[in-house]
Amino acid sequence: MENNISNRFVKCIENLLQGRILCHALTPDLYRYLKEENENGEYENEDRINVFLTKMGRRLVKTSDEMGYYCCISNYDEGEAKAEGRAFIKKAAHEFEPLIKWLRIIRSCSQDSRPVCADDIIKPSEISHSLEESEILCKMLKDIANSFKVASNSNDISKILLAVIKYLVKEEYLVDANGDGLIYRATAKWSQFYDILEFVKQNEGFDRDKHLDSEQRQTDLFATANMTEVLVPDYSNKDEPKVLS
Amino acid sequence: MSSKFIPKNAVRAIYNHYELLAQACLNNSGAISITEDKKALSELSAQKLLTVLDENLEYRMNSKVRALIDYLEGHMRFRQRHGDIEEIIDDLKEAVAKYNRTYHKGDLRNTNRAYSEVRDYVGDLFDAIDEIIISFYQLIDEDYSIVSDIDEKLHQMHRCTDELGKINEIFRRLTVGSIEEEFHSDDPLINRLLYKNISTKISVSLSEITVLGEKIVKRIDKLNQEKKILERNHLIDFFAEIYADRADFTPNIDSYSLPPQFTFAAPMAICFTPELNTQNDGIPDYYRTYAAETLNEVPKTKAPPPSSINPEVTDKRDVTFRLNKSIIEKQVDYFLQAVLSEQVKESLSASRGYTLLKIAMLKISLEDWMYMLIIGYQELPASVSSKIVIDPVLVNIHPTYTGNQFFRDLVFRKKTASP
Repeated sequence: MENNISNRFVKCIENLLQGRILCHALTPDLYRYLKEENENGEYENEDRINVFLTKMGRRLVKTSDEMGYYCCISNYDEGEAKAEGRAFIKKAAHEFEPLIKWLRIIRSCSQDSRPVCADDIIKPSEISHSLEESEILCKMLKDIANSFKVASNSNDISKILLAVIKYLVKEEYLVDANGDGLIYRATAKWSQFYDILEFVKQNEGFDRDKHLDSEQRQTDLFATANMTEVLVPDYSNKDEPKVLS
Repeated sequence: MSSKFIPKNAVRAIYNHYELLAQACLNNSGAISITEDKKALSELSAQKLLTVLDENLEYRMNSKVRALIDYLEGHMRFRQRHGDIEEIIDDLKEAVAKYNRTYHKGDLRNTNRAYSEVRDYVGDLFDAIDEIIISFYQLIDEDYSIVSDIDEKLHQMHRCTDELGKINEIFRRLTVGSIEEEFHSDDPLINRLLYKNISTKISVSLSEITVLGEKIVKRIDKLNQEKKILERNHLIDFFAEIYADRADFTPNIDSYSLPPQFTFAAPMAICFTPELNTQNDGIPDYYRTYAAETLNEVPKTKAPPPSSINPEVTDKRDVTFRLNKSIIEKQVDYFLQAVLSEQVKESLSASRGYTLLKIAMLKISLEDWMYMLIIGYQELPASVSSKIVIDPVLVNIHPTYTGNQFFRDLVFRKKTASP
């Protein structure tokens, strides 16, 4: 028993240091280990891992929805830490567009327009069905395949879909749930992806710009309405049109 | 001239203009602006339900009417009512005290009146409790799928949980023990009313509150989930729009100030030390696997071809070699000899040897000394080392993850000697 606990501890450390995200879909055993509560309701294992990582200049971090754990640099004031963090986000940013397109495809397959969340089940058969019905979705899938540089020469949508899924499995966004390629499970890398998107959105000042933009448009609309003179025919006097101010 | 006041007409006026009155109670503390429907205002004023306050340009609802509407609306809308309950309990306490005074005086008429007052407060208390529970159910069972403002609903839910907590606190005042302490009476009639009726009601209400609490927690979870989904959908649409407008969009990450959770660490290469000969069960099997793999991966050192080696062989037989040992090695030998010596009857600890042999003067730490003693012990011939037993003085360092044992001293003793 003790040996098993020790194994899980070591595996957690190894996976985290190697830059992997620990979640229920990807590493169920390790995720359960981290989520184990002691009699006081505290996450003791989480603390142990964090203490160990701190000695190595690392820190255990959870995604904002608490569906996944990953490793960050503990002394975040250091320039090196920031450089590593920026490099990670830059790398992720290269794939923003195809991943967003993928999220839109999956969302359109969902009956309640639900975006992909960690631990969600994804069935390629259902995606194929939606793709058959929509040219736009097919085009989006081809764009994704081009961005990922997979199946770029193929015109067979199901092959492209499988190639994209295979790429996402390789990048650990998806996990083949049963190993037969029929059902996939979304990992907490999506949670991390949403966190990064939110962070980029805030830092690019889009919130402010969009808000100002919509206000500006609204004001412009009123301004235009005030200034426009509307001509309507005056039936009492058919000689000249009447101006309504 | 105002129309004649007839109670039934007043009730009809309330019925006809109930929405106006209810909104005024809910949103404006019973005040109605003079800009409202004039006919309605004059009808309500005629039945003494409203009074005009000129300086404020508004009508004020009669407090009794307001209390009635508040009571009726309380079943439909959630409001914080723990203060009311507390007030009723205080009133009840006073009424019981008053009853006790008249009961002891033997004044039957006043006693009956006081008893009636106690009953009224008990009734009010029951009504207030029912009202709260019904209003909570109303709030929780509402169909949230049509609600667009999730934040508002979450806010309401958090208010509910706060209110439930406060009501729970108040109900503690109404346990049998507390009632006995606070509302004591010598009359069995009052005691029956207080102990039996209130206790039963509170017990039922508490179980209702527990169910409500669980429902609220579930509802909050669901709302939070819905909120998260909504936010994520907005985020996806937002960036889809950005990329549709500017296909070459690249975030300017260098200008960002990175918060702690975004200082992602680059993957770290992990090395393993092969420890194939260990008998320690604490070392996992996969360590051995890794170690074996590492050994297989390491290219074997190519020995230089024998032809390139040209050793000079000289005959050194009959020459005596002198083994030059360092001071510390000699000290290790002395120590081990002392352990084996017949003259030394007792066991010797490494720390004692460290002091006696003045190892510190050689600028060697106790840890290094112990390490050297272990090496010295291992270098002894098996026939000699088998005569020595080493007992580590263990230290409990929590948590020990690797299966290693920590010790602060080593005690050496002869195998036959007692420790």
